[in-house]
Parts: sequence; structure tokens; C-alpha cells
Amino acid sequence: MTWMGICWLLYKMNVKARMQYRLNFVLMTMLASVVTVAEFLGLAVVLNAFGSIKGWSVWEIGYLYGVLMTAKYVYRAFGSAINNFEPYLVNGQLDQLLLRPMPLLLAVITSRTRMVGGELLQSLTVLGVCIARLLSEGRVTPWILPQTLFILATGTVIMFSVGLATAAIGFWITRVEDLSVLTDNATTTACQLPLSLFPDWLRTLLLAAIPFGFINYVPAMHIVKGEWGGWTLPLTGAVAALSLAAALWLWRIGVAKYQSTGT
Amino acid sequence: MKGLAKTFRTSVPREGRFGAVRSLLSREKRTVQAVKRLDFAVERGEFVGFIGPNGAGKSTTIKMLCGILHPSEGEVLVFGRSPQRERRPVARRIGVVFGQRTQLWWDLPLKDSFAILAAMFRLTRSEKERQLDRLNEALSFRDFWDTPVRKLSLGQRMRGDLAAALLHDPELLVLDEPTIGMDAGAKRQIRAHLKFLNEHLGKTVLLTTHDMNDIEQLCRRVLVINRGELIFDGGMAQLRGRIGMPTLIRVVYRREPKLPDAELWASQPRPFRIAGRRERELTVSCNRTETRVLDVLRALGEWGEVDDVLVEEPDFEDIVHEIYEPAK
Repeated sequence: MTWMGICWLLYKMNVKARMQYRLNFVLMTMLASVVTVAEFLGLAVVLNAFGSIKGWSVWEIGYLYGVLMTAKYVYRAFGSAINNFEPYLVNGQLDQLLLRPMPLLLAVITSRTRMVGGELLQSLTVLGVCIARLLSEGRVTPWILPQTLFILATGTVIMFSVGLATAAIGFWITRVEDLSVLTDNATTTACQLPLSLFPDWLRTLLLAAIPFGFINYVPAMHIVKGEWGGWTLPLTGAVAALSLAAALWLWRIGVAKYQSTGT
Repeated sequence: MKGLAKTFRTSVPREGRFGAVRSLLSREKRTVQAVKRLDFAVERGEFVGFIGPNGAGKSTTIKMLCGILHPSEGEVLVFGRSPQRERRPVARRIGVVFGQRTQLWWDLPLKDSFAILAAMFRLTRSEKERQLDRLNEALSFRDFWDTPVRKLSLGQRMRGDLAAALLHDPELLVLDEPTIGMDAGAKRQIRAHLKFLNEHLGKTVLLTTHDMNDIEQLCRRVLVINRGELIFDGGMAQLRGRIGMPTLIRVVYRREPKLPDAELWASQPRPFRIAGRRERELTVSCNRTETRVLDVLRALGEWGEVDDVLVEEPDFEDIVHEIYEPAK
């Protein structure tokens, strides 16, 4: 069996284990879908009242939101262990994974599965509706489709890299939940809106330190607004690749610092 | 293992808001040397007991042996390979069981855990079946392997864990407190299984435990570790010779006993010493390699009419601790 085959087997087993608590699963799925819908409706109502914010229409902001949320939930689908890494360090769960003859990162990723079908569907719906509207208004060309697919991929990689780097820092400080609120949740919330709304320091932070700005805002300046040139897309790809390389490097050093837990 | 050492450097955790971030920035570090310069080698086919008080460095050593932790100094080699640099090849050749945690999939039947592990270790269907048959003979898990692991008894789960650790037919079995929390019956069963694995299947076993019976019945060689250092390496009989057979005798008298005064006590040395006294109750300790319990009781009978007697062997861990760390 190849590694892909083993990952698939582990995924199926995780789902099977999750299904042992079916009621809990159904409730969580329903709750999650309500939350996502409510979140975007809130944003839409505000935007509708103002018409547009600093030149960004509801549909353009919807596009930013759709790209960000789709990338987020694709990442959460396979990277939920990375996103919730603290228990692995605190309870020493990582010990078991280190005993498996698998690459560690693969073992971590396949050790936990979160089913995000509902959230992903909503994010894609928001994205689809906004793209359709932008197309019908003639503000973008059909090129937006392959370009969007590309930035969904790079966006997911950026999300994953930031998550992985945060998890890797856990090898030094153990408790990473607070840090992950900062690097993941807060930044995600900020990037639902165009970065041009924010003060310089925050914009710099979101472009240089935690490059969530490259998930949606930077490429959208080319794809949707047409204000920036075609160079933004290769740059986005480069940022994604660089983030991943840096995160993997940090992870590799961190693993040797793993302290496990006492018994 | 050569000059193996592990030092933990942890930042002192901060409480409250953004505790994690503040700990990261804090310079206050605490250094704990869990293992200092360990040197020992285990030969193929040996059954080695690895003991010492809590916090002695047993688990840390074992985790370095398995590639979970990286040594601060020195080196571990398993079959000539470093479990840190070549973690995956080493993982294929060792089986590890942590008694306090299971490596089975908690919510799934035992069977499914075997299926996953077989895939992970790339066993063919026939290899897997053959190995399961063989292990079932030793551990008989087939009658409960359809039950989710969380519903198994502790003894059953340990059999499952052992089988899971052995599925890929490793040459070395590393067991960290495999009988912890079990009742006497389950312990006896697990011991019989371990003996079988060592004697009939030729597995090398390294075992840590807090249960002296585990050591006495299974191990031909004992390593004692304390404060991160190896303080004894030899056979069980040798260890007995070194620490003797310390015994506590608690005697309750009908009336308050009349103990000889200090002068008399000094002039007539006795092979025991008084460890404690409370009204009608007297506790003495003796070494059974020097004297017999009966002789001690006879001597105690001279001091008053004995109402009740309790003889106990103190916890082995305590003795080891006491012997190597004389009264502070």
C-alpha cells in the first residue's frame, strides 16, 4: 500500500471513529453551518447599508471572503491536527505518532479528521455567487476561474504553513492555543476585509510577518480590481512556497526539541 | 547507550492572559537533568528489568531509545542505528508499549487497529494473518477484538496493545509499566504472555515496572537507575544480596511494653532496630538475610505480652531509594 493508500485508510478510520458519536457529529455540523452563514450575513448587511467601502463593492468583498473561507476550510479539513496541536504536546499524544514508521508530519495530519463539508459548501457558494455577479457585471473575464483556483491552492498552502509554524513553536513553549488565536483566528477575521482599510502596521504585519494578505487581498488586486499587474500571481505563488519551506524548516528543528510528558 | 544524557530546559510557565506568549519571551529557564551519562548494552534474547523510583529517568531513557526524544549528549544505537537519525527504520524493528497510554484507536474495534498497523508496516495479507494467528496463541484476543477498545478491560486492552506492538514482528520489545493498574489475576496473565514471547519467540525485552513481582518472575538482569544514573546492573540474586531482604514487623502489645533502657540496649546488640513506637504499638525493621522473623518475635516477646503481629516487606522502590541515598 502506498502512503496515499494508508492516508486514505486512516481518513476512513477517523470518520468511522467519529461516527461512533453520531448525534454529536450531526449537532456540530448543524451548529457550524449556522455560524458561517450568520457570519457572512452580518458582513453583507453592513456592506449593503454602506453600498461600498473605499471602492470595494459587496460582491468584491464577498469574493475576498469566499476565497479566504474556502482556503480556511480546505486547510481545516486535512490540517485539523496542526490547527489543534496543543493536546499533542501537552498529553504526549505525539509519542505514539513518533513510533509509527511514517513521516511524522503525515502521521500527525492523518491522526485527526474534521469534516467540513457544510462549511466548505457555504464558502464555495458565497464565492460562486460573487464570481457570477462580477462576471455578469462585466468587471472580470472568465480568466477569473483558473486564477481563483490557483489562489485557492496557494491560499491553502499559506494557511497550512502559518498553522504549521505555530504548531512548531509549540515544541519550545508547549502551550500554543493563545498563539494560534493570534496567528490564525485574528488574522483570518482581519483578512475578510480589504487590507487597504487597515493602518500601515497591521497591513505590514499581514503581508510580511503572517502573510495572510497574500491569500486573498494581493491576488484580488489583480484578478478583481485589475489595479496591480500580472506579477502579483507569481509573487503569491512564491510567498506560498517560501512560507511552506520556512514552516517545514521550523518544524524539523522543533521535533528534536520535543519534550514529551512525564508519567 | 553511550554517555547518554538528557537535559530539559523549560521556561517557567506564566499564568493568565497570553501566558504562552509571555512564557516564550520570558528568560527565566528551569533546567532539569533527567538522565546523566548512562552507559549500558542489552544483548539479543535478554529479558531486562529497568527499575528506579519515580522521576529517576526511566521513561526519558526509554523515549530516547525509541526515537521520541533526542538526547542532549551521547548516543543510543538500536541494532546499530540511531533512533533519532533513522527513526523510521528503527521503528520497524522495535515494538513499544506504554502502559499508561494505549496506541490503539480508542473508538474502533481492536481488529481495525490491527488493520491500520498492518498497512502502516506494509505487511502483506498473508503475513498479517500468519502473525495474528501466532499472536492470538500467546495473547488470545480474538474473542474480544470486535469490541471498541474503550470498552475493553485493562487486561484485555494490554493484550491488545501487546499484540499491536508485536504485529510487525519486531525483534526488540520495549515495555513501559505494562502491568500498571491491573489486578493480580491480569498481572499474572500478562507475565505469562511476556515469558512466552521471550522464551519461545525469542524476543528481546526491556521492561520498566514498579512491581517487584514482575522483575522477580521475568527478568534475568536488572538495571537500577536513580536520579538519572545507573546504580546497579546485574542479576536478581546479586541485587538481593546487595539490599538484603528488609522486613518491617509491627507488633501490638496488650499493655504498653517495657523496653530495655539505652545502656542495656547498647550492651546487648540485637539484629533489628526500632523504626517506630506509638503507645502499645512497636515497629521494628530487620534484614531476613541476617536473622529470622521468628527470632525477632521471640526477642520482642520478652518486653510484654504480644497481642497482634503484622509482617510486611516494604516497597521495593523505597528500599532502592534508601540504600542509594542514605538518610538525608
